[in-house]
Amino acid sequence: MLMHLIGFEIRWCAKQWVFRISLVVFLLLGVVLSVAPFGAGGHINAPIGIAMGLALLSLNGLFSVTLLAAQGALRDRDTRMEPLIFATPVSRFDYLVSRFVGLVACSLLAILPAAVGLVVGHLWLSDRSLMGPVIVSPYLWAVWVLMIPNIFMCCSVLFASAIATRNALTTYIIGVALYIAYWAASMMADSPLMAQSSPYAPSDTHPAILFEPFGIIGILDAVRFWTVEQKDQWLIPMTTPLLLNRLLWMGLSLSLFAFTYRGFGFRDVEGTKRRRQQQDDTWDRPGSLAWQAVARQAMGLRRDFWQILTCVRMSLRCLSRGPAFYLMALLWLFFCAVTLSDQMRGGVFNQSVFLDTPQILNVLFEPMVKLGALVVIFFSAECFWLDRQHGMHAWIFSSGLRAWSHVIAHIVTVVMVCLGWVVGTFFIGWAFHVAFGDRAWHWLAGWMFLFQSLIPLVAVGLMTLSLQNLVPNKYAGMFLSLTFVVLFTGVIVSRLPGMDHPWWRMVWVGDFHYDSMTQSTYVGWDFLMHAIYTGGLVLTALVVAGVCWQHGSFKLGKPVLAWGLSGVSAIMIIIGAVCVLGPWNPEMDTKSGRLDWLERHERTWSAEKDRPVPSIRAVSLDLKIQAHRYLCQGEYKVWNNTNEPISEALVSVPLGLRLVTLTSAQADTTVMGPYRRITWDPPLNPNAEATIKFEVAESMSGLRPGNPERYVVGGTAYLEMDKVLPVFGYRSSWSIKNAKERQKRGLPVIDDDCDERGAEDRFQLSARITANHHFQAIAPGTCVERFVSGNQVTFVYQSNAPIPFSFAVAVAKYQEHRSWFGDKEVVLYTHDHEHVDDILRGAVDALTYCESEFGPYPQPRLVIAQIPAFSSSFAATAYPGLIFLVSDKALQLKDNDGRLNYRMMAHEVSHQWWGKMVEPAPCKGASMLTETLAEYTQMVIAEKRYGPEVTTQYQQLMDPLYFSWRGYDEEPEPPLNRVERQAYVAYFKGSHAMYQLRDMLGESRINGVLRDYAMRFAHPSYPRADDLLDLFRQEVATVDEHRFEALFTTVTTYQLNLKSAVTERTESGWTTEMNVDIQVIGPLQNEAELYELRLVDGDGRIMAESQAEWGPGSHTLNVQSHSRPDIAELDPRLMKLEADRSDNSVAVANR
Amino acid sequence: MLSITRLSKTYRNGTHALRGIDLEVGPGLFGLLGPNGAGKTTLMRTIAALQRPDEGRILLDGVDVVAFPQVVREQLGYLPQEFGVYPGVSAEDLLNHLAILKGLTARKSRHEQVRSLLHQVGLDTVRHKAVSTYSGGMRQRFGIAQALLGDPKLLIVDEPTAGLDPQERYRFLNLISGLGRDRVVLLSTHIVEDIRELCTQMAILCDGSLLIEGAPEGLLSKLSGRVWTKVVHADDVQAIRSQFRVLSTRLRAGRMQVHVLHDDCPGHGFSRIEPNLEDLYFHVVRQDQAC
Repeated sequence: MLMHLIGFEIRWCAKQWVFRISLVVFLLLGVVLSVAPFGAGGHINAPIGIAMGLALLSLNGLFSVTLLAAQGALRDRDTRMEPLIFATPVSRFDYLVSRFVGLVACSLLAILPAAVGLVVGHLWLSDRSLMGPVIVSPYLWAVWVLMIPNIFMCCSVLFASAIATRNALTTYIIGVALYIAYWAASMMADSPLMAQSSPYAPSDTHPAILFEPFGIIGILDAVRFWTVEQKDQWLIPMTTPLLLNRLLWMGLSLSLFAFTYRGFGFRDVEGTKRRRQQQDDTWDRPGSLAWQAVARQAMGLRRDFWQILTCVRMSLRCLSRGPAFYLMALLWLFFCAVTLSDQMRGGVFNQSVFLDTPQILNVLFEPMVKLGALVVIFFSAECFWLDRQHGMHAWIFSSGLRAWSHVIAHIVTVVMVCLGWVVGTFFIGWAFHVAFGDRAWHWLAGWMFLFQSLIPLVAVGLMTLSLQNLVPNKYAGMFLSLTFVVLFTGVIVSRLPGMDHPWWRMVWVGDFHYDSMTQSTYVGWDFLMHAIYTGGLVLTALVVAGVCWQHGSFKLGKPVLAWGLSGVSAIMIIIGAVCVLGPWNPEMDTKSGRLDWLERHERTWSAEKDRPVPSIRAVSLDLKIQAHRYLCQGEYKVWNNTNEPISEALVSVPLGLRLVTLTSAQADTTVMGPYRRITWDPPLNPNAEATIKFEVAESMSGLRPGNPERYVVGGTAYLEMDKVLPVFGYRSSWSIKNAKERQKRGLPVIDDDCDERGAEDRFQLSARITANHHFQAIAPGTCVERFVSGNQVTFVYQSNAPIPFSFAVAVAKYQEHRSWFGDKEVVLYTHDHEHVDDILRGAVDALTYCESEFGPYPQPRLVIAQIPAFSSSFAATAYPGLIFLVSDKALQLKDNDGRLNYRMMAHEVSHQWWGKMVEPAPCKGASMLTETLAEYTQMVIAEKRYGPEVTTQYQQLMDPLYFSWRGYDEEPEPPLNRVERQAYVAYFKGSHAMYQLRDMLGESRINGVLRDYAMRFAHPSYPRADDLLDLFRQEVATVDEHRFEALFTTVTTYQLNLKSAVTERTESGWTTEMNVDIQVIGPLQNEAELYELRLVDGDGRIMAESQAEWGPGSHTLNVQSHSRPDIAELDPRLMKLEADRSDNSVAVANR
Repeated sequence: MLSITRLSKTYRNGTHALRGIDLEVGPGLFGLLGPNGAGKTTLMRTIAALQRPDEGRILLDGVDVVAFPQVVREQLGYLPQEFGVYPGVSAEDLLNHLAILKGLTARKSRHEQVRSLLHQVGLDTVRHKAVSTYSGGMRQRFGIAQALLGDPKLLIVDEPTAGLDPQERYRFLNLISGLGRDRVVLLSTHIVEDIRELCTQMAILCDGSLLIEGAPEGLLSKLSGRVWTKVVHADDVQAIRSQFRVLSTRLRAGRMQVHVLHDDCPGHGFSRIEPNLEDLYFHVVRQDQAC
């Protein structure tokens, strides 16, 4: 009997559209995953990539399971078969077990093909050069540990929900709740899959690992400190938290099924409509009112309006009733609260941020749109099927309601649902702001939030209506809509090689990136263009749905209407495509297209790289900043500082910019591919000068991804001019850097230690910057003139001394704050008013310290300016005499004690020495000479202001960041003296290295070396990293040379484990025996080193400290103390670079 | 005037629901009789423009319903055999909603008619309760009320009295007989007496074909004097069946009452009776099945 029932269930399920579509889609998704992996930078078939990919697919499988569960468990009710089935002698066991087993089996059959697709893809489709050896165990591990338990868990939770509530809507809501549980846990754990994640202590992530139903946080946690190499080779361990997660959710799943089994009876559920039906018929006395005919109003717009209105009202009323709706609203409220709490808690270095309009709306936007898409799909499908589902269709369709009125009513209902979702979310954010907010609420941001989110959601809703009109089944339509969202929002398709074109992401406009400085989003009102494009696509879908009529709802009966709408949609698509996609470069906006272009460029032009080019001696600029564009007219005075005549040179501007004109009185120019070739006839002889005039223009499109280094939004601008101005010679940056990619394309290996072009010469700058008269322009040097003309204001800046080619300008509305350092002025331009004192204090302290320790400050003043949060790729940046601070990483951080802003200022001010006064050669290790030294400087300055304990606290943040970031670097990690772009080495490891070096040498000896270094290598000496290390080596030779080399010239990490500590009373006090296990990972692992141990009491007071010189292996040390210690600690001052420090302390036990 | 010409409809599963139906329906009540699956509901849905016929024409006052479905919808009151309602919506609200869909946008007159109809079908006191909580009979009365909204020139009611108790049934029949004076009312029912009492015209459908059409009295007159009845033992029925054309058999107090169609007295114990519509129905349907 049971086997027969199970067989029936599986056969029934196999006939369902949802099952068939799921099977195909997941098989394809598996194949897609094999070429577009969720890896961490290593092999595309790395175990972690396989596990992550399949785990995320099982997460998405939740939607299939939800639909299958709702169909399978509720089909008796939906088909009104319940009385027939319940009246049979089938046992509860047979009924429930067969349904559940059938659901689990079909869900597995529908979703597990993803693993098959992945294997197939890896074996036959994936790029072999990006793959490691194919072994079966990672696939089996992922299927066994992640996919099967996840699918089982989803089945049991949703089956139990369906059986317990007998309500499809509640089942869907529970499905969404599971999805939200994953998101909420990801935020709690700061999952690397979430934006702006920062590492937490393992103990902090454990609750989230347990709480998250899909085990994804668990596997990320298990490999959180692995390098890419380890991720490529090692199978993911079943860590205790991950094991507990799996056991917890499997146990919960079984318990739910048992609970459902126990509570199930072959009866109507108490409270359902059938039970609530009135048992006694009511019959009024015969009425005295006579029926009278009432004439219908003639067909017309007025009647259509009322009909649409009543349909919308009735649909919304039906869709929004019942506990499921309120449950969903509560879930969303919960999710918003978790998200915003996380936002309040997190930020740069876990600093909370001021909770204001940009912070709230920016963080709510993405989940609102993505989860909103699910909600809209569901409600749109329900709206479409509402009449049929409740048996009202015959009345509606025969009522005289015109088809197009019916369609419009559906559309308006969907728009209202979207509007409700968006406005609801907006007001949740507003309420959160009222309760916890720090600043005034920007209502304008609300309008942008409304429109930018509404358009994609409405598009999804209308696409859902169209798809529902084309398929015979609501669930199949919902699944197709989900597939549409997944495929066409850039989640999947854009991961495929060559398919990462913005066309595929055009349903979403982009992130909502509102900035309080610009009072606008980055997209701005450009999304209206996007609305036309999306509207055209949706209208096309509606026309197709109308022509391919299925269900009597949409029917474009008149061909003229179909053709008319088709024409309108075509026009909208064309207009939208021109406006929206026009700014995109089809060749350069896909990864593969870009790589092809770079390869072609290198092959075509690399012969030019040895050709001598003239140097720039002076730059004169006239920069006009408009609302969303800028025009830069300029003049270079160039000279030939080589020993040979220069007859021609290449000139180029960065991609995306337009070099409008390039002229020279002494030369001719011709366009050659991405370059202009400038030809001097006669040639430019050594030391000869020439003048070159140029004009560069760029119009900003809010629909392109933001460029953090170059933008103009509403007249507010930040332009790194080296990314704007034309440069001479072959652009080596237009080449493929990735070694694997170069090898694959047969390009020669780049093993240059230094940039072949060498350091840029410095030049005098004269810049006129014109902007709207409310704005202030900031540029390097001194503002020598300011004048207003009409509604424009012009600032004229002159550099105080020759500056490097790398410089930036900013234009914004500012308030001015001043402080003094001796007789030199420190000027701070801000939009926000918080932390002004901390920043000025940090700047003055840093100037004072650096000038006293490293040499005089060479500029007459220091200018600091706030720039918008659109500069997302850095927190602050320094130029000679000028520092820019990014809003959301500095002034907008809550930073209650002001230390982070203080530190940041100290770091940036020290760059006036480390980077500007002493400019390193453009070679490997240059970042050590700038960022690492700046980290050291801010460390000692902050320590003097706030006390020595802040340094340890700072290191507690830096070390985990180092281990976390290195796990995503595809390239092998370089040692400090060879560091290039690896910020985690230059900043985080550099900070640790200098912390240890100071421990070895002391501050005064380090500063002595740095002073010597600054004197010897001041510009234009262009030192290399080893020049500085050689100076240090002379000092450390007498201390600990091995430790120094381990820090600066090798990649060495530690795995320390304080296994046990037992104590016993002795005559002299207490003797504690500590057992230690030491592993050193690095080239110098056999050397003996000093390790620190400490005994403390329950209040953290130090009772005894000791040191031991040990090599790798197990060791024992006895430490004496006067009283009984409570806790033993290994390496308490964080002297060793160690990923997991959770096993470095133990409670002391009695012997 | 509703004029149906060569109307055919075949469903995707091969079922021939209508086979060349020709029918002229004038003002007054028109009754449709037929066994289950005869095509009555298909015919009514097709007239109501809820589905398209494969062939044939339907003209309502000279306007092609298939080509211009909106025309019939503007004049239609339709009560389907099976229907549902939106959950949680009161009778008054739902009726108002349907009234607006039917073009009754003038608020005052709409409300008056809604109240009047709810009163007429005896749901006035429960008008604020959700229709989804109504019993089967109450729900059917609500369906009748919605069919009467506006001023329907064509009223199609499919099994309207199913589920109604006798009192409700009479009230409904009185209502629609009053309405049928100046409009076309198409009534499908299994209760043949309703047609006898109410309908000026009737037709019998079987297996998608129109078997007979006309005024009930006229149709019955063809059987007049030819229907005989006899109460017999159940064991004797088979023998009678083999000898005569049995129209119907009915168990009464343990014995079988047999109606037989015969030109003269079939035998001892038979007595002549006036034919009723049931006799006509069985006669026509069995004749068709025999063919």
